[in-house]
Order: sequence, then structure tokens, then C-alpha cells
Amino acid sequence: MEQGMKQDTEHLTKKEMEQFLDEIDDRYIEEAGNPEKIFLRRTQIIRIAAAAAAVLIVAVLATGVIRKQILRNRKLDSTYPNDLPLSYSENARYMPMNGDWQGYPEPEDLVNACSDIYLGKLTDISYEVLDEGNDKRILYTIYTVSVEKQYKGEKQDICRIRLYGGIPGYKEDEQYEKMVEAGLIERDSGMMIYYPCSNPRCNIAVGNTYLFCVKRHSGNPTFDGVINPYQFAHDPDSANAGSIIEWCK
Amino acid sequence: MRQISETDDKAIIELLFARSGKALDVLGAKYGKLARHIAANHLSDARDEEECVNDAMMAVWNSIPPNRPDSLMAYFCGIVRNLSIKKYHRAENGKTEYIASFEELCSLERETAPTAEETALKNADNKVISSYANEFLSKLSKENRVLFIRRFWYCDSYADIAKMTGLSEGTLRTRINRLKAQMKAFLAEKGVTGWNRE
Repeated sequence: MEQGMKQDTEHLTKKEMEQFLDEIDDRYIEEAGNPEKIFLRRTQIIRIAAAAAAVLIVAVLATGVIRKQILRNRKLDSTYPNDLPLSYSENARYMPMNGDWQGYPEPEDLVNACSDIYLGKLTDISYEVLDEGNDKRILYTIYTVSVEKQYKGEKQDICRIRLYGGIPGYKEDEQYEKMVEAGLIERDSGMMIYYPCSNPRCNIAVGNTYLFCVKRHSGNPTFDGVINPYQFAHDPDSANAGSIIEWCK
Repeated sequence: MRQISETDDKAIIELLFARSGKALDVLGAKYGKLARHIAANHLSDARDEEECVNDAMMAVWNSIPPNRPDSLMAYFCGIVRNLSIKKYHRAENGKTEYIASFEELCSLERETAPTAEETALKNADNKVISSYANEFLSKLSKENRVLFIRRFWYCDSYADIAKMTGLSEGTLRTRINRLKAQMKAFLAEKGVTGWNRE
């Protein structure tokens, strides 16, 4: 009996299913008459999109290659960061300190001259009187850098870069006090600000990130020395920084 | 398969109304291949297929006029399909794609017989699934609708549909299984007796 009912049910269902298919509207039958039209259009769209994506990828890669070549072949220009706000004292006297700096118009030469090149955030600018030996002491500007990425040399998390002389117009009182404390000038001799004889020079500001180009001497790992006053720091987005980074690779 | 424009169909119908013998030539040229494809999906004998298509053309000749179908293609293909199914059952053909697809669709049916209460409810509501065919299809995306109809109405094999659509057979099977599940859920939602319980 159970089996008989099952048979009836199956027969009924199949009949209903036939009716279901018979009832399908003519417009749907016609619509399905040409599936290639519906599906190949989608396939074509996918193919076109894939081709466009491939062209885009090739273009991006080609652009990247071309950009690299341009960056490697160009000379360094004379742009330098000038971010530090300066405020000059009326009673200060500015005394240039002579120095013999070599400039590097070719990025390759600059990279070869540097022991270390790194990207970092300038966290402090301070002044210190350092002993140069032979009883010679000089005021230095000390740039403290939190290193983010090393392009050449061995990475240290914190680097201190020194450049002899101070910075006219930036914390002038502090420079004067350091000079007096060190006995390099008399307290009543008036404010004397010594600075490296180089114009222009990188005026970099605390809180900004720069690409630093320095020399690290194994005999004095405490401080990195600048490559020169006007090429030791670069805006990381500048063409100069791009060229230098390319030559580091 | 070539797409036939609406204008072509109208011209053929006009020829049929004019009782021009050219009408059948044009009909055969335009839809003969599709008609043979449908017949072949249902039948396993080439002579039966050809006979079926010829019978369908005669049926078109005899029914237009007075009929004036909106879609000549659907009208003609519908006749081919019905004749093919009848011929299949008469000739006791082997298992063709028609049977394979139909059994696949019927595999959705309930596994237990309806209770007396359910049968009474069904009879009272007169709910039959055929009345919901177009509503169900209208809810599908165009692509899914085409897949459903190609498999269960045209009785195309998965391999054929894969060739037509560019989809892989695996993808196709998955999509059609989902469509069957959607159909089952749709009919259960409508309260069609025998579908609202597993």
C-alpha cells in the first residue's frame, strides 16, 4: 500500500513538472534561444577587462622602469630642504667657520662618498661643544634622527649627526650659553654665532622626515658626519632623494 | 545558432497567412537547425528527429492561420518539443538527454507520500506548480533563467550548455543545482503541497 502511494505521488509530481515546463512563457523560450548572445557578451566584457588590466599593469611596470632609468641618469639639482623657521637676535654677531666641502653633482658619486644613507625623522636639534683633540674644542649642531629605513650602511635606531658650527637664527641663546660654558668666548663679549661657511645649507626642522647622507667613522661611531652642509638631507619625495635611493640599490 | 529578428518572424507569419509555400522554406532555413537540435535532445534516432521536425513544420502550416504567435521561434520550438516528447514515449527510446534532464528536475520531489490531509489541502487550494512557472522564472537573473530553460526545456546536455555559454561544466552543474534548490524553496514558499516539507 505504502509503495502504491509512492508510485501515485511520483506520477503526479512528474505530470506537474511537465505542466510546469509547458507553461513557460514564449518570451523566456525565445530569450534562451540564443545563449551565446547573453553569455559571450559577459565573456567578452571579462576578456576586455582582463586585457585592459594587463595593459595597465604593463604600463605601470614600464612607467616604473622608465622612472628608474630617469632617476639613475639625472644629475642632482641644487634643491635642499628649507623647513626651519629662523629668528635672528639684534645683538648677535655671525662668524663664518671655514670648511672645505666637496659637492656631488652625480648621485652615484654622492652615494659612493657616503658610508650611510637612511630615511629618518628628525627628533631634536641641539648644540654641543666637542673636543677635537689638541685642546681644540668646537661648537657643533647635533641632529638626532630616529631611523626608519636604511638604504646604505648598517642600521642604528637612533643616529646623531654633527655639523660644526651653530645655526644662525635658531636657539641662538642656547648656542651662546654653550660657548660661554666651554670658555670659548667671554660672557660679556656679546653674542657670537659661529656657522659653517657654506651657503646654502639644509635647514631641516624637528618632526620632519628626511633622507640623510652621512659618513660614519669607525673611530667615532657616536656621531655621523654630514657629507656636506647642503647635500646631507633631502626631502624624501624629491627627485634628488629618488636618484640617491636608486643608486643605493 | 543565429539570432532571428522580430521582423523576419513577422515576414514568415505573413507568408503563412498568404499560404505561400515559401514560408516553410524560410522557416526551415531559419529555425531548422534549432528544431533538429531540440529533437535530437529528446530522441535517439536521427530518422525520428527528422520526422519530428517535418511534422512540426506541417503543424505550423496548419495552425497559422488562424494563430498569430508573438514569438514564432518559441511557437515552432514548442511544437517540436511536444512532438518529440510524444514520439519518445511512443517509440520507447533509450535514455536521451530529455529523460536525463527531466529526471534531474524530478529528483526534487518528496520522498514520502503526502498525507491525506495534505492531499485534501492541495485539492481545495488547487495549487499546482505549473501556475508558478513564469513567476519563478521572472525572479531569476537573465543568465540563470537561460541556464534553467536550456537544461530543462531545451533538454541540452551540460556539455552543450558549457559550449554555448563558455562556462565550465563544473560551474554549470553548481549553478543549476542552486537553481533547483531555489525552485524548491520558491514552491515551498508558495505552499505547493508536497514541496513544503523535506
